[in-house]
Amino acid sequence: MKWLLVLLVACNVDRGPHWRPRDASTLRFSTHQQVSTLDPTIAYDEVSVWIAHSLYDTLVDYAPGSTELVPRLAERWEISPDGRRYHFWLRPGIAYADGRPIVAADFETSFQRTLARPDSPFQQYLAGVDHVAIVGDRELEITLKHPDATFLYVLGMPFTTPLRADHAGDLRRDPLASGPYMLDSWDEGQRVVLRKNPHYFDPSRTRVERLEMLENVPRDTQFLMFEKGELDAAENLAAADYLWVIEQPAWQPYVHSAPQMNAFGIRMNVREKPFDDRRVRQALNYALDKQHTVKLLNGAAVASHGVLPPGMFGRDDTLKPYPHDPAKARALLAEAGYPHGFEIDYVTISDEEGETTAASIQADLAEVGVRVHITPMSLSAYVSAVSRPDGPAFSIASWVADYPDPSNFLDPRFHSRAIGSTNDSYYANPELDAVLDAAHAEADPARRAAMYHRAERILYDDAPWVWNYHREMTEVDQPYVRGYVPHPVWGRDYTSTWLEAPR
Amino acid sequence: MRAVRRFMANRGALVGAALVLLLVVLSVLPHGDPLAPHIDRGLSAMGAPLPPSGDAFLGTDHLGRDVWARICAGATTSLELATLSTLLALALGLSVGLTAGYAGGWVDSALMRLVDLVLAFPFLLLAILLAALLREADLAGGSAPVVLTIGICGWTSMARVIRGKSLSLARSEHVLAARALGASPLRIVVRHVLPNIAGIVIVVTALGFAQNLLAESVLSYLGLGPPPPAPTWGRMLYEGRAYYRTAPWLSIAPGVAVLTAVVAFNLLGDALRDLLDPKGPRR
Amino acid sequence: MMMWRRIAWTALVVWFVVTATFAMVTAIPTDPVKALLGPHATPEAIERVRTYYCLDRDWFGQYACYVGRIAHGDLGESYRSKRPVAEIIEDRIWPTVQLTLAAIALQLLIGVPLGVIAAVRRNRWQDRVASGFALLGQSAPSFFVGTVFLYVFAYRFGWFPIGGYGQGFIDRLSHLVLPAATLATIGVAYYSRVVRSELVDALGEDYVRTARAKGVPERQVVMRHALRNALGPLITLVGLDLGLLLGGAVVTEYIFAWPGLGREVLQAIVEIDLPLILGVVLVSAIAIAIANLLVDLVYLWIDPRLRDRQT
Repeated sequence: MKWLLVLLVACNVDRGPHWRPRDASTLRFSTHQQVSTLDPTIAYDEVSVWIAHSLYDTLVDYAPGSTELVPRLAERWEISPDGRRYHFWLRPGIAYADGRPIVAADFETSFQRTLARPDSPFQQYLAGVDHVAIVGDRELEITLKHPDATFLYVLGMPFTTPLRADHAGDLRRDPLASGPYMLDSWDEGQRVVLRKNPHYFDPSRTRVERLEMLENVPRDTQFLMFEKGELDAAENLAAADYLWVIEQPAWQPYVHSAPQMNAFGIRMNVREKPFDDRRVRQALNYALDKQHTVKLLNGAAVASHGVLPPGMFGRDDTLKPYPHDPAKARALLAEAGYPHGFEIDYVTISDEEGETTAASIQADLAEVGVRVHITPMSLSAYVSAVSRPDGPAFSIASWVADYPDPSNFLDPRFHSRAIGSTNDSYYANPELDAVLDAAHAEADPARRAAMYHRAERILYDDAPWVWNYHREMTEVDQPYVRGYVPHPVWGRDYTSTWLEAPR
Repeated sequence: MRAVRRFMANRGALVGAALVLLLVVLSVLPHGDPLAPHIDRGLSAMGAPLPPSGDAFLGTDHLGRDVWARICAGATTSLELATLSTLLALALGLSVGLTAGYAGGWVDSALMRLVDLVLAFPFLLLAILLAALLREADLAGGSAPVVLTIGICGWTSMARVIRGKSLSLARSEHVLAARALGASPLRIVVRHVLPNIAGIVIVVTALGFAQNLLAESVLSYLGLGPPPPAPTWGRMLYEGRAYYRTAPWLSIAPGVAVLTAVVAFNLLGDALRDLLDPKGPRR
Repeated sequence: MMMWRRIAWTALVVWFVVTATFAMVTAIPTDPVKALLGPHATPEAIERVRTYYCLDRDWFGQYACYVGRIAHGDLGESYRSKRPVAEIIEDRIWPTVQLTLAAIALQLLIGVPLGVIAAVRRNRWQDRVASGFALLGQSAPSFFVGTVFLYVFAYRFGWFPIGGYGQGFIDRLSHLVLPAATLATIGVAYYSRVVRSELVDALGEDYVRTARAKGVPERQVVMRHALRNALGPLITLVGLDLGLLLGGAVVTEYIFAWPGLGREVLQAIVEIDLPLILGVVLVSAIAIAIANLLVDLVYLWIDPRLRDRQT
């Protein structure tokens, strides 16, 4: 029997941090989703956009670890005093992965492509563009119909990457890379491998030669693989894995949680009873115990008072989240005509977070007499259910912004113009609309911030959502992953990373 | 009486029956609240499930709920779901199998073709599709979709077995004599066929019960079972699976529970088959 | 003549399965276009995509659209990835076939000897242990078994990789072991019981006693004469298994991240990706039908006499 014991001990794999990279030139990580397309004009889901950002460069981009815009393919730019004309000078020596130079006209090509493809979700971002003027190979000027303080952010989105009209391949599988990395191989649904773009102008952004992303890896499997050393980084950790790893002294230094541009809550259709009464909506806000939610999310979240996350420009930090006050909630409900509460269906997404928070919501609301039935659905089913006007009136709400500006949170969700697309609360408040429109065009940051403070205050009082939390991204890296800085917009950002055993 | 004595002599039957009794006891035992989350005291400071202790002797789950309470409540729910779906499957299987076997001829062919059609569906595919579809139709809250799904997917094997037995019975002397005497088919079925297939019906019910318990746990594991906060064992396995490193009791408890229940009914079914239908088809 | 009737019936079955699936999926009240295009979609974009996917017609129109395409060999594009369904299936079917064959091989290699031992040493401890294992194997949910295998052999001991497909022959084999073993668990139970019961029956028959009296060594008696009996039911079981497993070992593929049809179809159903669901169902139904046909052929080939012994 002793040999069995020895065998068992010998076979127990080392589970602590791995100190040497298996392969210093390749960084391996995974996702539980899959890449749907490499076409920047179409890629909208999180994973595809991330790959697109690695493959394609844009005029401007964000500095590492920050929401500040810096020049990328553009060397510099000037905005006209009336805020309508954006003039860009391109950096010299920029080229595609095949060596051919990037010219100004290529930007116009990609704009036109976006407007021409019926399945591009980005058309509305170019709706404000009046025309584009090309001056030679290295200058272009974009003229807007109206001044727009957020337009520069739009130019940081991958769909604005330059494209050549004569590119023969299908961009879905055969990208025309202009970014730090190019496509090495894609085994669809399995693994995407990117390698360094030899013609990229800034070698400091590609210290890792290859990026290998495994697709469709469930989150718990991801963590097992990471522990075993088969992955160099694991992100979006499941609660169980996060709880375990932060308690391990060996792993603690390498665990990070970084704030992201998101907001979660419960959306209510304010046109339907009982949510048409503001008192009911406020009552539900008082009924929800957000500290419970944060605890259920293991501290990787922050209670919210609105949709703007901490650190976002225009956020009114004097507003505190609704306190947990069941007595007040019951009083408000009684005042609104529901002294015995009511019954309602709550539709949520059938993932760990959606179902866990749903249980907490159900318990909190039961305390004030609101009996909740939980209906979990897959993401696609949820999206199509909620998009119907007669769809569920009470469901989980989440929003991840496309760029770090308050207009990208507030306008799509609460401007009456967005009813029928992204404003699924059917909230229409002329006063809010006016404030948001004015703020969108306002150039002076101080005045702009004040306007967004006002917008937050209106929404706080009107409560079209039950405000809940902002979630942070949790991740852990092997000790040999150096120089990594999580990014508030892109999540993972390996452009400043390299692999080396620590001394 | 002799039947009971033979039953007692069969070891498998005894063990199976004892386990089933244990399960029934479990389901009526008084227990704590299995449904409401206890976030303040049922979880650690970081929000982790608590290990077994004096307060909760099987620990708590990721929402701070007492695992033991959920296992007991789960016994009730899982057994209920398995019973309902088995009854449904039995209703379908008995009517189809009996009709096919007794009537014979083209009726038999047609019905067996129907069985072939249902069997042509990859089972899990059918189950998942039905579960998804029925969920959307939202019949009477959470449990109906699961029951219907499992019942509709499970009746075919029962039908086949019952049909086989009915077929041979239909050619037996009693039945032929009764027919010759002009008795109505209904009377013949009730008086001659049913009592003789009772044995095999009991066997397939017990075995079918075990299968359906298993099926419910698989569906719940895929997230297609009864919606939260339903305390079925399958759902507990689904919720607890991520915690197998830090809180293995969340998976071990319902896993053992499901295993025990399924083993119990399999044992019972096998033993009953040995007792009631030793020469019958083996599967 | 019989063959043609079989083939016609098979074609009918396949058509029925596909139609029933279509009916069930379209009965789910969702609009995939919104999920496809994301929240910023313009009404024009939505209209154009709906037309492209035939979603602007009524039920019969949609059905005709799909069937028409299938008849032309066009299985359409997945809603989610816009990738041609035929390509997806082509990528996924070989892993499923590998898994199926590996599982069946394991079931035969382990289940049959187990059954033989149980029968030959019937009612002794070997029989009890073997039967006990069989009972457990039959009663444990496959995801439980799979998770235990993953945790113990891949994670704790590190003998096997934690899921995935692997590249290269040896690597692929090491990735195949655990999922195949998980799938085989139930099969081993069934096969061993069937072999045991058939063998027990056969060993009591006259011709076996005759053989023994003639002095034929026990081993030969068991192997050559009695085991022949078990062949029939075993072939049935293998046939059933082929069908079952080719339908996609959904749970096992999910746990081990094995890129087969099962996992693909689970995702497709959850996301209500109609073209992909229909494509996979079509292929599975055809695979099952072919498996059944093969089983029948093997029967006829092995021994026409065996067919009588069946009932």
